[in-house]
Order: sequence, then structure tokens, then C-alpha cells
Amino acid sequence: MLNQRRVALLRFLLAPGDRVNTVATLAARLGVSERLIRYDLAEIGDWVRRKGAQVRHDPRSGICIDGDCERVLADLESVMRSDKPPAEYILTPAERHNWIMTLLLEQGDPVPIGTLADQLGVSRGTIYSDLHAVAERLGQYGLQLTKRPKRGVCVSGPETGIREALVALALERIGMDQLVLLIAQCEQTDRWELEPYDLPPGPCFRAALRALRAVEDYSGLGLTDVWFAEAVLHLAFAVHRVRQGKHAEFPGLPATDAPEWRTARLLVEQVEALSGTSMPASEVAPLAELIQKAGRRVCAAGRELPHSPDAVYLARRFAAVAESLLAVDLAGDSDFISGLALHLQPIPHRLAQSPPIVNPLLEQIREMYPELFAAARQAAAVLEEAWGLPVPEAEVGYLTMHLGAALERRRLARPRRHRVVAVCSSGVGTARLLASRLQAALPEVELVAVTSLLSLGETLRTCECDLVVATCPVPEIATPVVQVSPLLFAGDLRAIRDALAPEGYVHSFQRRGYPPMLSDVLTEQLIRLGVEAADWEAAVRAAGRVLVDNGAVEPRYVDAMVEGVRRVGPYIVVAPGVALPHARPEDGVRRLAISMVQLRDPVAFGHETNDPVSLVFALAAVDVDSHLKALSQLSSIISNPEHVARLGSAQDVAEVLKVVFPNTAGKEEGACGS
Amino acid sequence: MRIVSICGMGFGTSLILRMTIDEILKARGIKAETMAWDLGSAKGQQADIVVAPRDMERHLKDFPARVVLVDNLTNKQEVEAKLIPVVEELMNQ
Repeated sequence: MLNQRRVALLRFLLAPGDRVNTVATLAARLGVSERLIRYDLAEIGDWVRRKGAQVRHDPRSGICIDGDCERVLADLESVMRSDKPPAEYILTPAERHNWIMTLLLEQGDPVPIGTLADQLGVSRGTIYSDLHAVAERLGQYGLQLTKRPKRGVCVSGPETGIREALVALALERIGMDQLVLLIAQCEQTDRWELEPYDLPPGPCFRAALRALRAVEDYSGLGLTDVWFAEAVLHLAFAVHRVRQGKHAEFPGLPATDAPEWRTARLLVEQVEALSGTSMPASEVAPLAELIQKAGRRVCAAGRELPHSPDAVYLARRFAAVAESLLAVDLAGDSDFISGLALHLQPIPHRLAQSPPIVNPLLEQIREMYPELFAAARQAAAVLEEAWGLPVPEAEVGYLTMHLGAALERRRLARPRRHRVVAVCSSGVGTARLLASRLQAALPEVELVAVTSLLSLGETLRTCECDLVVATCPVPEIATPVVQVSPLLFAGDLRAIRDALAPEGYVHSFQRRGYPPMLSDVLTEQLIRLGVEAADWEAAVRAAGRVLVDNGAVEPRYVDAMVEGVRRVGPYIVVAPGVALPHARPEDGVRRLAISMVQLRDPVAFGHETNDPVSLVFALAAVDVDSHLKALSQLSSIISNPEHVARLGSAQDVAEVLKVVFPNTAGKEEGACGS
Repeated sequence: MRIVSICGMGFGTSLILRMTIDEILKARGIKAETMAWDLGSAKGQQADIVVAPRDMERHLKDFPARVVLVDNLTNKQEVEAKLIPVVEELMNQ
């Protein structure tokens, strides 16, 4: 039998993409234990077998569904969309509550308990206990569950509460990611088949979406995907309900001419014209409130609204506290301040409202950045004081992401080559964290834009890119897409690298099953003997020139190596007589290589114990780990003084190779193993 | 316990050092998290022990961790002799 989690898991396994899923990655993704995932996979296996497919688990390609995936997906969708509670699916109590509430809210008239029990396939007793939970939940929206003797139960209360409940229940059923994706798909194809999801009818939905787009273009309102989707839902339900004669009650319009109100009025006018439904003036207020709560989109097109001075001031105060705790400069980081200000602006409105803020990444953030989380927690006191509201953990998690982004930014320089667009539909913090993580973890990547799913089309039209990295599902586009967690776990990084450079240098090694060996990286043409150098700089430059001559690095890489020694010291003299100069991948590395220069006359580098140096190995690395194997082999060679002496006095390259690769037959094993 | 090797760039020297540390810890069955950082990103991070080439001493003066300085990064005996007493001391605390 399927249930909510298993359906999510199955959907994920069926989703196109070439990421490798393991029990561990799936457990992390769904936030449950590995044991539960194994159990779920067994149940999913039973289910897909009946559809003529199977769950395959092999060590190379991970866990996947073998068979006609499209058919399985179609079957799954038909199970999910049948309006009768499905036979192949166990509803969780929460899903049952959702189903009951949605039915009651839409019906208006009393529904007999027996009908509910029949439809859901559970006992009347279960329904009675469900109704307790339902009543409590409805209470959150100011609604009452009323029992009418002989007629059943019904919901009563203000229309605004009913709307809020309908939106929240719909979001709960479909999930935010799925809704954003659905909106993107509807917009792309102009087909509005929403029945399976129990959303407002297609025409209402379409009018709502078009109205929001029109207003967005006109007023520069830039909502994050998540808030845009929620606004579409609200507006669509509003049209739907007004058509049924259910008007929102509201005590007239306020005197204020705040931008939210102007925008909300525009929206109502637009949706009126687009849907042909006359909307009463009372519909403006709920929309204005929504816009006030909404987060603004971080947008490639530079459509961000100016921040309020309050938010910037608060961001600076938050930065000042965090700065003193973390001993880094944050106030000078304008990206940090503006990103944070953008994020802070709507929070007090959100904190004052139910439902509470959720942060699906909270646990992972806490685990990954414990110090930053603690600092964010402490610095949040500034915000609590200003707002007079407690800041919940979930929010501290988002603040931590901003800090994480700022610190990660420090670790990176100017990457280039592969052009990547990052797509993030949830919000500013997530987007910025993803961006920073990408740049820090993949220096070989140039991040050309960070955008939301709904602006992706526009971004791709205006800039060239090799790969789209997204934290949410993306509808089919011409550019390859990799879906990742914004925290970029190891598996995510692998997926991105694989997508970027299937034919790349490092990857040709990875495909053959093991990483580049020293024999792959330090080849004959990278060895120079008897080189004359007057001082340490000349020696480093000589080894660098060999890399340049072999096309492994750009000339500026050599300058960066010299600069590194000047800045930090002769620490690159790693062992007596041996120097290992290097710089960073983004300093102009084209491919992984190590050159070796034997100096005719040893030179001093200014190292206390390891001078003078007679061997210089210049290293050019393309990322943080592909050169590990080769480096470990080199390290074990130079840890042996005898080897160093032989290399220092070698008369020809053959002699060098004999030391470096003593057993030529087992060349791939390298010299000394690891 | 988090043991971090540090160099100027984070791509070469510190990796060698980290591999040496890993070997030593593994041989002794000591469990610790090891990482290789460059100077810039080490700031604001936390570690219990920092292992670095001796020439970086002046950059690590204020670093809030026990600092172990090494002359020959590839010499397991040297790294072991300097690192292990500190590890044991911290473990006994």
C-alpha cells in the first residue's frame, strides 16, 4: 500500500534526472530514518510490480525504477486524482482531516457522518475522532464545526477564514514545490488541467495568474515563487468563491494609500477584467494583507523593490552582533546587508500571523553550521527587540543561511568556465546560500545568475548558460537541469560535475572507475632537469612555466603561486629540499597537472628547517578533491629522503620516472599506493 | 574532535598534511574529523586542533585552537610526535 511519504518517494524516483539515489540520500531528502526508507522501498516495490515495473538497486546507478516509468507515473497520478479515497492508498489521519475539511468547506451544506465514513472507507468512530481534530484546526481560521442533528456536520464562520483554510488545505495537498511547478507548466502550455489537484477551476486559476503577471509587470511587484504561487491560489479561490456568491466581508477600505493597497486594487481590477466576474471592493483587503506578508523575489532582472530603511537598519544591527561573535566583517558585505534587509522586511507581518513559519532545512542547517546558528540565535535578539516578537527557530535557520552565504562568499574568488544558472523558488536566503555554496564548492563554475523558477524562462533568454542547478523541480527545458538541495551535499556536487563535464579531463578518469594517479598527472613532458634559478621566485616561475607550456594553466596562475608565497610565507617547502607551489583553481587552471623542476643549484626559500630546495613540484588543481590520489602518491615519494636525493641528482628523465614509478608494469597502481 | 590542516590556498599543502594526519589517526584508531582549509576560510570557523607548516605561525597567533606547527609535512614521525600528545591531552580533558 502507498501512503503520503511513499508517493513522495516514488515521485522523486520517477522524476527525470540522472542523480544517483542511495538509501542515505533519500533518507536525508525526506528527513526520515534509513530504516524507514528501506521499508518504504519494499512497499513501493510491491506496488510498482503490479504495474509491471520494479525497483532496481544497483551500486553504480543507485536506486531507480526499472520499466515503463511514464506508465507507472500515469497510474500513480490516476490513483492520486480519483476523488473517491483511493483503494491502493492509505490516507494518513492528516490527509483524512484535509479531505473532510475540504469537502465541508466546499459543500457548505451539512454532510452526514455516514457519508464521510463510507467515502473514506473508515468507521464512524474514526470519523468522530477525526472531527475533533478537524474542529480544532478549523478554529485556527476562526471557523466552527457545527453538528446538525439528523443532517450531519457543516462549517460556519467568516468567508475570509474559509478562504484562508481552503488555500492552506490546497497547499497541504499539493505541496509548494508541486504547485510552483504546476503554475510554470500551465503558463508554458496554456493548458489548465487542475482537476486532479482539487484546485479552483481552470478559468479562475488562469485569470488569477494572468492578473498577477500583469500587475507584476506594471508595478514592479516581485514576489518569490512561493509567495507568487500562494497569491495565485488566493486570488483563484477568491474568484471561484465570488462566482458562487460568497463575498469576503471586510470593514471597508482603509484611508491609507500604502503600496500594498494600490497593488491589491490593481489586482482586483485586472482579475475582474480577465475573469469577467465582478469583484466587490471587499476583496481588496485580504490581497493587500497577503502582499504585505509576502517575500520579495531575488531576481536576475534586477526588479527588486527598494528596501525600507528600517529593514536596512535592522540588517546592519544584526550584522554588527553577528560580526562580533564570528570575528568576520559583515557590515562591509553589501550583498549580505541587502539580501538580509530584503529578507527581514516582511517577517514581522509573517510572525504575527498563523500558521507558523516552517523551515524544511532547519535540522540540516543546525547540523552543518552549529556556530553560525548559535550566532544567528544571539543576533536575533536585536530583531526581537525591534519587533517586540519572539523569533522562532525556523526563522533563525533562515538567518543562519544568510550568514552561511556571507562566509562562504569569502572562500571563493572569481570562478569561470562553466556557466551555471541557479534556480530557487523558496526565498532569498535559500537562493543566496545555494549561490554561495555553488561558488565555494565548485570553483570551476561561473554562476551567471540566480533566479526563481518563474523567471527562469526570461533569464535563459537573456544569458547563455551550460547548466541549470535548481532546488525545485523544473519543467522540461533545452538546457540540462540538475536538481539539488540548497545545502549542496556531496551527491549534489557529483551530479553537477557529471552534468557539466561528462567528457572533461577529470571525469574521463572517474568514468574508468578510479581517480587520476600520479602517473596521469606528472607526465614525462612536465619534467625539467638541471634548471637554473637565481632565487626562490625564479624557481617557482620555472616550475610554473612548465605548466604554462603544457597548456595546463594560464600565465596568471604562475603569478598567483608567487603571490601566495609572498603573502603567507615559504610554507610550500613541505619537506627538506622540496617545494610544492600552487594556487587556486580559479587562478587560471585549465587541467589537473603537476610539473617537476630539478634545480641545478639549490636555492633558499627562507624556510627555517627545509632549505635549500632542489626540487620544485608545481601543482595545478581543478577542484578540491580530484587530485587527492596523485598528491598522496607524490607525498609518499617526497617523504622518503632517499627518493628526494635520487630525484635531486637524476641525470635524465628516465631516472626520474624510475623513482616516481618504480614498477612500470603496475603503473596504474602508482609508486607507493596510499 | 575537529583537526584542521591549514595552508595558504587549501588545495595542496594542507591536503598533504591532512592525509598524513589521517594516516596517523587511522593507525592509532583515533576518531576525529579532519579538514583542510585555506587561511582565509579558516577565519570564523571552529577547530580543536590546527596543524600547519611552521612558516604560518604568525598567521595563526590568535586562532582559537591548539596549534601544532610542523617542519616536514610529509614526515609522519614528526607530525605524529607533535600531534598525538595534544590529541591525547584534549581527549583526557
